[in-house]
Amino acid sequence: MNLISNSVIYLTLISGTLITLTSSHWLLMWAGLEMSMFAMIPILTHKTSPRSTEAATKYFLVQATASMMFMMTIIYSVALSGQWAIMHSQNQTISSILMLSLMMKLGLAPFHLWVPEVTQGANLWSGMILLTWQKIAPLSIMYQAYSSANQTMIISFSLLSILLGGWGGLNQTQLRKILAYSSISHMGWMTTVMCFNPSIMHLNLLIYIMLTLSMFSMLSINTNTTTLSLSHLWNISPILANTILIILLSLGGLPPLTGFMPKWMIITEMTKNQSIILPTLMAMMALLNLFFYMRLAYSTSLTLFPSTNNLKMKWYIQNTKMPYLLPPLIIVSTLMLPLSPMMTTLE
Amino acid sequence: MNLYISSFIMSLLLLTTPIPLSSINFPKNTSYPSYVKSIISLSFFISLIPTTMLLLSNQEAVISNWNWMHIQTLSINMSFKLDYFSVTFMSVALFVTWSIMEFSMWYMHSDPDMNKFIKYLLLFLITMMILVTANNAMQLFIGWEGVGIMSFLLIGWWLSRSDANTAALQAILYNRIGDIGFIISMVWFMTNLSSWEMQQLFIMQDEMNYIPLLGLLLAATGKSAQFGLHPWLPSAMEGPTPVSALLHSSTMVVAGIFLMIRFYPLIQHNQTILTMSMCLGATTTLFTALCALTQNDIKKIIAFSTSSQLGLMMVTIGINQPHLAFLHICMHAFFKAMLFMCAGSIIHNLNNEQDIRKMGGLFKMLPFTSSSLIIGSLALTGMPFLTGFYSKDLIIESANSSYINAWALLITLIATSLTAVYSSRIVFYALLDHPRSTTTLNINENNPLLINPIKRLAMGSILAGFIISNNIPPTSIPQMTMPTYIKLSTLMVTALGLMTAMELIIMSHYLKNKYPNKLFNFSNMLGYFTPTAHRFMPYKKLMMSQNLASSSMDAIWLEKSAPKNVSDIQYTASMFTSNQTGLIKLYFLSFLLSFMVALILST
Amino acid sequence: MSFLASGAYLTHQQKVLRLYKRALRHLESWCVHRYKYRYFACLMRARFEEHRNEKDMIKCTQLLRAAEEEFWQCQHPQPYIFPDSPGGTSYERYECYKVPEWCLDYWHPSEKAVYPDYFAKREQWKKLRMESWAREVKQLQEETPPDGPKTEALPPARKEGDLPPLWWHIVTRPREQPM
Repeated sequence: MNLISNSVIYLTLISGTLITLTSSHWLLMWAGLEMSMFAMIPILTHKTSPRSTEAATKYFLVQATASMMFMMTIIYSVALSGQWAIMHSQNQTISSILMLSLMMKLGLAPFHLWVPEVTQGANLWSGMILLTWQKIAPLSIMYQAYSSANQTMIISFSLLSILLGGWGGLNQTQLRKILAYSSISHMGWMTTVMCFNPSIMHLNLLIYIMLTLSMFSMLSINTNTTTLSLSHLWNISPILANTILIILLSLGGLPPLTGFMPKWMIITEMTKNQSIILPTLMAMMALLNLFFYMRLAYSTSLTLFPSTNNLKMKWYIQNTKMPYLLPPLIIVSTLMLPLSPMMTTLE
Repeated sequence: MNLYISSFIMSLLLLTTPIPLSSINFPKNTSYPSYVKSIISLSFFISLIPTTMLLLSNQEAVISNWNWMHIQTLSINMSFKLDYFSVTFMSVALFVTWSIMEFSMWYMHSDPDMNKFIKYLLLFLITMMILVTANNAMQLFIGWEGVGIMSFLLIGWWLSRSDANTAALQAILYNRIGDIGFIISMVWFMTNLSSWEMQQLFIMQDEMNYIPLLGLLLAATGKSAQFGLHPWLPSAMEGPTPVSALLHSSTMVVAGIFLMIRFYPLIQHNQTILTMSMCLGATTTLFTALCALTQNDIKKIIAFSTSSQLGLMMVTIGINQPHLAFLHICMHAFFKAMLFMCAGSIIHNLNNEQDIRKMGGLFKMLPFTSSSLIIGSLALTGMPFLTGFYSKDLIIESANSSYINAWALLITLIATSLTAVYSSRIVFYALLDHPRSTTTLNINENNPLLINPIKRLAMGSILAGFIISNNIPPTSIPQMTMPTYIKLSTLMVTALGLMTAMELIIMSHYLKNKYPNKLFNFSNMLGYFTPTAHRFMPYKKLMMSQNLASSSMDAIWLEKSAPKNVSDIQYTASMFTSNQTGLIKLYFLSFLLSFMVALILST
Repeated sequence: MSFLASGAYLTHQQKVLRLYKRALRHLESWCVHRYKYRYFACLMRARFEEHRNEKDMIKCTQLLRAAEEEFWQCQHPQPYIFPDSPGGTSYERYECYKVPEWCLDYWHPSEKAVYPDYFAKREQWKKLRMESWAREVKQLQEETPPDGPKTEALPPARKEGDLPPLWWHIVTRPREQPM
């Protein structure tokens, strides 16, 4: 793919999301979503293979369905209210369908099946975009439209996605799929807290993107896609192996690391709202995620699998990639917990 | 009066002198065992003073001299009770132990640790003296436990022998069961009567209920090896022969019966406890007599005969004649100690051979021992005008003329006739017929250390019954008149047993046993009691506990409800939910379905 | 009593002989009197002799099996055990006093100094043993047939000036009973 087409594709991707973020008009918002979706398809088929084509097709079909329903709600609400501006709809059905279509775009629980499939089909870079950048636009729409939606439905779907994300990840050895399931769980946390305090959802999204970015960039240095290849990391770059351990713990939300901050805030916010059972359930379901993160961390850096002698010589191969962005990302995704007072004031 | 108490105290104190002396450097030219022996004989002669005074003037006393401690209202004193039981028993026990000490100087002469052995025997005696003379339950308990621990040390004397260690452990463990009974009674006395003094307990006897009395019965069962807790007694034959002699005559096993005698004012009006002890005693006496019939180890036969006699004593307590039971204890001490000494003499001369199948013909080789053994056996069977007759005959008479429990009485009579059978069996196999021992033996019985004690006890076995029963003050009303056939029944059954045994043994020369013989095996394997109680029941219990406690607990808490179940659920759920087919058709179907459900539910 | 733990490795002849010995021992336990025992032992011997020349191995094995079963049925519950044998009444009795001779080497010099004569002699014995060891081994090797020793008994000294083989172990074994 040449430079021109590449730049057009990425420009479309970025501008699509930005249009969605900035518009106050339903149609324009929809157009932004469609733009980023169409730009995503060539990115997914970056290195053409039957697997990536299948992934792109699936992505297109799911996103098109979601967009179609999104369009339907727009038309319906225009027909009801007679204007295109984003405002809180009084019609329960419209807002429910709106929310469901956005959940489908985000890959929340009952509609989550496509996420691991598509992520596994694409390469690491495309998967990273899919799991980070592509979440921003739908979440921003949700952020604007959540108040008219049915809260019970949102919360129950969110809980379901936390649970299914955990269960799905337990059964995986493929890193991209694991990260996809982890993304499903995190989306569940975000949409849960959306009903209580949407700015914490923003914060969570931000930190989740940081963590996922650093995770993906570390994996892409050696193009690790399986647990097995990750467990050979110790003789290629030992520091990276240790860093992966810390990032994984942060992703799981353990206290001195950044990943703890959103979980902490979400649980605080929910207990402040007299909701006790819900955060307890969520925290317990997060243990499933923590389990497979720990399993990954264990096989990466806490143990040495039996190996032949020539495997230990791998460190002779010098890595030519220079991940300039990685050090600040790692610092941000691990050491940001002391900044949490500042973050809370951002609300 | 002063002589009574002071000589009593003197003889007790004399006994303790060798204990501290053993730790200092003993003079080289004096042998410690003979020193201990002379101390005991001295103590015996001094103890004759209070005994004579008791016999002449029926004088009794209580010495209470040191207040030990107070636990709220319960005061514990050191006090001695000098009554008929303690004073008489003390003289008898000292006389018997004197002989045993002298005998063990001969029997154990090759043992490197003889001084320690003698000291243990002395401590055994001292603890028994504490038990007998105690006037309160606390002091009695000290003696009780002391007897238990000394029996443990002495039974396990040959410490390199694993069987001896097992037997010692068995003895201490069975006694522990009995001790629990005693402790229960003591605790009940303390909480309900707030006293451990005998006199105060006896005054309060109307308030007794079953708990303390059953506890006492359990204690006596454990210590005196009554049925159920009896297996330790034959096993205790692992100890050296002097230990068996002391254990079976004047210490340890009679302690249980003595406890019942001591506390009889509490028991005498409680018909249930009396019947229980009678049935227990009758079962014991018959069962152990049956076991004795087919044993081949000479010491085990004598041990079972002791057990049978203890059962008889228990029966006597059951028919409310504690004084008779006590008389039998005293009589029994003489001839049982002598029987063990004769057995020891035979065993030592036959180079540690204990099996009567390998003896025979000893009457020619060991004439003195054989004569004494025959005297002892006849005394045991109740031959008229030997020692055993004076108590045994009375016991059977009172039992026959009482109207308590015909079953128990019948059992006791059968056991009495069996006594003659196993006694004559020892005599026939060990003493008569042709020798069956190895030929390279150096048999002699000329050592005065062997002859003298047996001689003294043989005199005792012949005369003691006459002397004691002629001199003791009348205690309970003896049976005055009875029909001739009841009077003669004891002699009849004994003679019957003797004649049957003779016939059988003569037959055994010519006829071969029919084997396998279930009855023989039952008797020879001690009624299969040990395999049942020591193997089968613990095995079942442990299996049940394992199944109930370990396995089912693990199954419930670990496997089925908590950790493993959670992990199983997660595993199954994970397999179920993330099992992807990759078919977009199914994805859309699931989208459609959840869409519909969500819409229906939310609007 | 030798039980059949090693039964699988015994020849048929060994099995029969062991059974015969066990049967005799139990018979002796049953029949106390010697003359009676002799009579029944003869009968037993006759029963064994009856099948002495049996060549058919199948029949032999069946006979052995039947005999073992009969023996099991008729065994004595308390067979006679020699006092010093395992299970006997004085077995292991003096085990704790049986101190091996080499323990004397570990006595403290001050303790050894109490018995100067004995230890001086002992040094000479030890020297003698060291000198004689090679000759003892040589004698044993020469006298042992190539297919293994015929008996457990050790041979006496054959030549003038030699010591009997392994004499040190025999003369320094602990006493059966302490003095």
